[in-house]
Formats: sequence, C-alpha cells, structure tokens
Amino acid sequence: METFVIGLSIASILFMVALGLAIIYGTMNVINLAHGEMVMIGAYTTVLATKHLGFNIYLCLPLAFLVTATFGLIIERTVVRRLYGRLLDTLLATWGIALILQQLIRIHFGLGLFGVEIDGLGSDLQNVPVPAELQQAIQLFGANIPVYRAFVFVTALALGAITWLLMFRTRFGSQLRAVSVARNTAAACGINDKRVNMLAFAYGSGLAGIAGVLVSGFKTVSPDMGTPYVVDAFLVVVAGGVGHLLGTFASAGILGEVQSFVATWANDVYGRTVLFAVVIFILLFKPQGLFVTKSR
Amino acid sequence: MTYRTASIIAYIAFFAVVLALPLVLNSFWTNRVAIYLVYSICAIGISMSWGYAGILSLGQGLFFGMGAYMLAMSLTLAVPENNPVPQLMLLNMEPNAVRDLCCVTTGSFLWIPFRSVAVGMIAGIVVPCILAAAIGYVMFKRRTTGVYVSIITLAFAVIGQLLIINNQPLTGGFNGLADLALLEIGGFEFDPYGPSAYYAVALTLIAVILLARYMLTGRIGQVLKAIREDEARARYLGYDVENYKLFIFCVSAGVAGLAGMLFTVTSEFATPSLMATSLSISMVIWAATGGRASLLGACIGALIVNFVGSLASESATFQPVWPIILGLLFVVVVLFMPNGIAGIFKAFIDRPGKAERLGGAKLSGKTERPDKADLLVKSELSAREA
Amino acid sequence: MNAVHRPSQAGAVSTAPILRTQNLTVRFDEFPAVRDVDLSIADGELRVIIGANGAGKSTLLDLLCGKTLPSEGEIWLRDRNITGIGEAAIARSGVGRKFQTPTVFKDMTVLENLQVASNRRVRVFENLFERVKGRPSDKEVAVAERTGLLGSMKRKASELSHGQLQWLELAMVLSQEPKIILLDEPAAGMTAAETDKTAELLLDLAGGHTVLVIEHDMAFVRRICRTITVMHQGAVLAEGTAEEIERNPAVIEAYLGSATLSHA
Repeated sequence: METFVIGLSIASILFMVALGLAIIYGTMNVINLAHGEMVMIGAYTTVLATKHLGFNIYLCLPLAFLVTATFGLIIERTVVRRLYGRLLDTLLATWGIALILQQLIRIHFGLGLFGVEIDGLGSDLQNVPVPAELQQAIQLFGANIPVYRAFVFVTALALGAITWLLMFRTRFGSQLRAVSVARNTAAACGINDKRVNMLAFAYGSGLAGIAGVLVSGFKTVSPDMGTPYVVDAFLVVVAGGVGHLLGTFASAGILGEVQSFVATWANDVYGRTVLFAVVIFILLFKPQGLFVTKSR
Repeated sequence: MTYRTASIIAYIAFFAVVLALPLVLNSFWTNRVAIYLVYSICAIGISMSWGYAGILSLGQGLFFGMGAYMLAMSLTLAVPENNPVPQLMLLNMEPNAVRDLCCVTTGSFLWIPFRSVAVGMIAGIVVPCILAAAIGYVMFKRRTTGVYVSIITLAFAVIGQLLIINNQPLTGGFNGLADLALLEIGGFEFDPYGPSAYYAVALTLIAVILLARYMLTGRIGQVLKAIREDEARARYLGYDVENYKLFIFCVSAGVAGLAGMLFTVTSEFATPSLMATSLSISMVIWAATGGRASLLGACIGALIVNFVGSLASESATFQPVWPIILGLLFVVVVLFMPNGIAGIFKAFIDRPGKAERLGGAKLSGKTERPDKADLLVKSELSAREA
Repeated sequence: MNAVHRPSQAGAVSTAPILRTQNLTVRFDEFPAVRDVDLSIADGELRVIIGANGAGKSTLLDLLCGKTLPSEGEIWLRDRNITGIGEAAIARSGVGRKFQTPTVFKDMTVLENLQVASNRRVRVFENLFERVKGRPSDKEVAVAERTGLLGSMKRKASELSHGQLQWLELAMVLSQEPKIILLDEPAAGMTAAETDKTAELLLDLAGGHTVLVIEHDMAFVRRICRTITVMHQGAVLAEGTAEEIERNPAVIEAYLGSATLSHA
C-alpha cells in the first residue's frame, strides 16, 4: 500500500511534467529538452520565495507557474519559433537552452561572477520547508499515507481537470486542438497559430513549474535535477499516445507504479531500468501509444 | 578552385597539422589533444549515421563507453596486483567466495576472456557493434524513425549507465575502472603523455576518416543519402532500407567503440560518465558545429569545441560561463549554421565573386544541350506572361 | 480529343497475364476499401483504372506494390506469389510504382536520382566499395532523353518544376526496369502542354512495358487506353473499352451526374 501511494505520487509528478510536454509536442511537434529545467526553475522559485519572500508552498504554486510560463514564452519566441518542422534540430537547441539555464542557477544568474551570491542559488543542494500539516501521515486501510504525497496527487488531479476544461471547454482549447490536428487549415480559418503555439508552450512550461514546486517538497533541489524528468516525461507522452490527455494520465499512472513497485522489490536503479525497458517496448511495438486505437 | 579541390587541400592540411602537433606540444597538451582527437573520432561516427543516413542517435555514449570498458577490463587485469582477481572485486566479494575470476563475484566469469589484451581490443569494437546490431535490428525492422530513434537510443544509453553503476562488484560501479596498466602491443608501450599514444590516436583518426570517406563517397553513401531523403522511395526502388540503416548504425557504433578504446589508452580510466546523456548529446553538437554531413567538419568541430572548452576551464573567469557559451553554441549552430563550419567553408569557396564564372559555365552548358522540357516550361511561362 | 491513333499492339501482347490478383481485399477498421478484386493484366498491356474518389484505386496500387498489406487474397507476378513479401522485394521482383505526388530524392541531382534507381545491385555489401560515376551511363542518358530530363542532369531535384518532378519519378521507375509499372495519376497537376507530353510518353511506353494507370480525366484516358477497369466502392464494377464502359448501365448508374464521365 505504501508502495502504491509512493507510485501514485511519482506518477502525479510524471503526469504534470508529461502533460506540459504532451501539449507542446502535440501542438507544435517540438520536443522541448529544456522542459526538465522548467521543473528545476519551479523548484528554485520555491526555494527563493520561501527564503526571501516568506511564501509558503501553496503560494509558490501560482508563482512558479507564472515564472516558468514566462521562461517558456521567452524560449518559444526566441528559439523554438524558428525551428518548426525541424524536430531533431529543436532537440539540440533546447538541450542547449537547458545547459544555459542550469548554469545560470549555478552562477547566481551571472552575479556570482562579480562576487554577489544569492542565498538559495549556486551549485549546492537546497531544501524547502514543508508546512507542518503536510508533514503528517494519515491512516488509510491500515497503511501510513504521508499527507504530502496525497497533496501531490490531489494537485495533479486538479491540474489535469483544469487542463481538460481548458482544452475542451474554452475557445483557446478548441483553437489549440485545431492547430494540432491541421495547422495550415486552422491558420487558413483565421486562427493565429503562432499565438496558439506561444501560449501552449507557456502553459506547458507552467505545468512543469508547478511540478517543480511539488518535487521540491520531497527531494533536494539542485541545478541538474530536471534532466531525468524530461526523458521520463517524454516516454510517458509517447507511451500514452501523443495528443491524448487520458492516455498521458493512464500511462503516467502505470509507469509511476511500475517504477515504484520494481524499486521496492529490487532497487531504484532497477526501477528505472524496467521503466525504460517497458517504454522502449512500447515505442517499438506500439509507437502510436498504448491507449490509441489504430485509425486511418 | 572548385569545392572538391578545396576540400582535398583541407583534408591534407588537417592531416599535416594533426601529425605535426606533437612536435610543438608539451606532454600535458599532447595528452589533451590526443583526447580531443578521440572525440573527433566520435564525431565522425555521428556524422556517418546522422549526416549521411539521417539516423540521430542520442545514445552514442553507450557504444563509446562500451569500447572504453572493454579495453579497460583488459588493462585492469594487466596490472600485477589485480591477479588473479581485480582489487575492486576483492573489495566487493562475499567473505568466503573463491578467489578466482570464475566466481569471486556474480558474473565475474565475464572477465575471464579479458586476460588477453587482444581480446579486449577486439571486443572494444565488436561488442558495441553487436549491441548496435541488436538495438538497430529491432528498431529498424519495426520501422522506427526520426525522433523515436533518438529517444530509444538515449533510453538504452541511460539503462547501460544505470546497470554499470549498479553492478559495482562487476564493473567498479560509479568509480569505474582506474589504475590501469599502459597499453602494450608487442613490447611497445603506449605512453598517454608521449607521442606514442598520440600517434596511435592520430593515425587511427586519419584511417577512419579516409575509410569512411571512401565508403560514403561511393555507391553506399549515395544510397544512404537517398534513404535519408525519402525512405519509401528507396524501398520502392528495391532497396532494403532496414539493412542499410542497420549497417551504418553498426559501423557508427563500431567507430564509437574504437574511440572509446583510444579514450582508455589516453586517459587511463573508464567510468559510467562516458555513457551519460550529456556526453552523447555533446558528441552530436560537436558534429553539428563542424558540419553534420562533412566528416572533416565533424572532426574539426569536436576539436574546436573541446579545445575552447578546455581553455575556458583553465581560466577562473571563463570556467563558470563556459557551459553557457556551450549552450549558446548549440542554439546558434542549429539556428544560424545548420551545415556548420563545413557549410561556411563551402559558401566561402562558392562565394558570389566566383559565381560569374561558375554561373556562366552553367548557362552555356544549358544552351549547348537544349532541354525539351525546359523549353516547354519556358514557352508556357512566356505564353502566360503574354 | 480522342483522335490519337495507336499502332496495333496485338502482335506484341502475349495472353499469359503478367499480373494477376485473386480475391484481393483490404479492410480498414472493418471498412472494406478494396473488395474481392480479381485483376488480370496481360504482358505489354496499357490498362487504366478509373473510378470516383474513394473508389479504392490508389489503395489497389498500394496493395500491388506492398505499401498496404491485404486482409485477404493474393497477388501473383507471373508465376510468383508476391503477397506480403515487403515493398523492396516486390520492387525487385519487377513492380515499379509512381506516386501521385512525386517522391524523388530532393537534395540529390537528377543524375544521382537516376543512378540510385538504375542500380540493380541493391544489397548493402554489393555496394560497399562500389564507386559512383560522375557521368551518366548510356542507359541513364537514354531514360533521361525519353523523359526530357537530359538537359537537367546536373540540377538538384528540388530545383525542378512540378511536371519535371513527375517525369523524374517516371524516369526513375523506368530505370528500375520493372516488369509492370504502376502509375498514380501521372498527369496530375500538369499544364496542358505537359499533359500532352505525358500522354505521348505513356503511348510510347505501351507495348514495350506493361503499364497500369490510375486516371481521373476521361479525355486523357481515351487517348491512351484500350481496356478500362472501373472501380466503385472498392470493387471492380466493369471492364471494357471506353465505348463499352460509357454504355454500361451499371457504370452510368454509379456515376450518374458525375462530371468525370459525362463531361469527358
């Protein structure tokens, strides 16, 4: 049961990161390798806001969303926009951006060069204080459930629901879906597809930022913490089927649980190994995703 | 001067510089440059599969690392203290295990063939090739293409790295294999800080470039390029696209394995970090900086990036900004110079000042052999204008 | 428009079918795109398949060249069952396919395109140490001349006009020396002059080659063809000469009011 709950929280984080990536990949067919850095920036936003502004973790959620969405917006406008249709090249360019962002944190946004250091940045590991009410555990079916893990899960569900509403109940959502299905037709119908791209990129980055806040509550924060997430999240997206919200949700759940159970049964490394192996198999044998029925 | 002549001159000049460098370098820099040349070999491997066949592997580090480990295993056993059983296994074995390579730790029997350095050297190429063949066979038979190939290879490299870190009693774990013997062939010792190892690397590099160029300027290069352009068309012309991709993927892996072995020779260690995602992606960017579809370009790209990187890490001011410069380089290369340094070189050779002569030749060529279809189109156009 | 006269091909045509399909059927999500097609093409024949959009014409060609796997049925090339042996093997056994939107190697010159196509030693190790010639072989010159590309040999395919691209793809298919050529709307997107030239080219091919053409334009069809196969909703509706087809009540019923036939 504990394993299941841990799996659930891994899955929740994966889901939030993957959801953003799925929107970006689904809409503009771009793989943002700097997506993991959005998680990292979300985590550092939390570190800085709790240290310097006295924010608690709840307030950090919207703040991190705004901060990372802004980063996403800038990345889209300056780099990604010029690379549409060159998928492999975007991989490289966004990896470059990832390197830059990591190093900016390490050198205190460059101030470190002039001897100015900001508490909370740099290469060291950081920790974020978690409010007392989230540190407790509740009893459920005879198992100890850490409240924080439950909080992560609920937040992920809520974000999933908001995203669903946004995609299927708003004008922006229908434009987004139109662009991802048939960009040129959508543009010909008067949809400003560049604007849709930009906002989708920002929104996707924002989701990763929120995931970053939540991660910071149970993992140490460091400049290179984001890298593993982007690969995992991409695997989730592909396994779930590109452009399928529910698929992403389900595959995040499955992959999170697989990782958690194998990790308890053997160790962390095997957990990840099995996760990767599972996904490689999915990519090879069902590249359109697990939950997509074949259509023509 | 045509582009062809210019590039031949460039090749010769490059070889001359590479061969002459040890004459002016001290032992520290001889070693450094030898390592950069190893990276150049990696970049050539990338250029072969990515530049020519459009297969972007982000797991090239896996093959590089495998090559490095294969030779490092042999060189570990070549140290007297590591016989009959390497120190790293003694540290990790069960207290009452038999002190023999067959069974001191789980899987330690895998080391037995590596008592022979020759086996290590052959395995350094063959094992990456076999691994690539297995991965590639499944990938290409399933018709996996584009970014999926990149992600699958990346995932395999991550698995490889995790497995090596996790099997400490067998692989040395996170610390890898260090304190190696020097490579010795027929009584000749390769000193990583002397010209011997340097020339081993340099001559291998030159041989790899020449062989790769011979192959890729030939028929197989043409077919690979065709596959890169339009896989389906190549199939409908009767080519077994999968086999071609598998072939170049394996060759590229073998080249990476060879580079890995030379890395062991020049830096005297092998660690899991050789399989890190970041190194694999860096290899791609070296090739991209130099020019992905140019073997020499890729090679020079690797040299320049690593050389500048190393200069930067020497300086207290530049060391912290170097990763940022590197990141910017990724972005700038991809955005503004998709054909890398080689592309700039080509543009310079074909620069506008010469276009008159070349363009004139082209035109006169056309009038000599009037083209029915061209004329038809032209008359069409003039009819429309009228 | 239908006044082009052809020399009789009767002498050159042998009666044994070069391509034969049996009961050929493919379903997508239970929807039968092609049903129970029994086709028989004689050696040296120029056959045209017509039919409305969605009648299954292109899917039929996809089945013949291996792009799509049939759900049922078999395809025979002379005495060889080529069902499901893979696109490359089908191509090697003698089926050449030209697509509606030309697929050529855009970043390569016309000559290089032809070289790749005319190279019949297709295995990896046969090509490992083969050199590439800078000049076209006689065969490549001949095929380029036939398709009007001789003057463009050194140009990149990406610099060609749309009509030239169509011809280049046709030239590549010809270089492949196939037993049967499958053409999907060879005149699509061509100007009137280009269409004329394409019709000439097809007539020129007929007799020497076996050709299976999909076409929409009845005027074009009448010029080039004797036997027409009409497809409707995935099945063969009728087969015969242009006159027979236009008088066939089933065809008239299926295409009543259809511009394709009535205004042709």
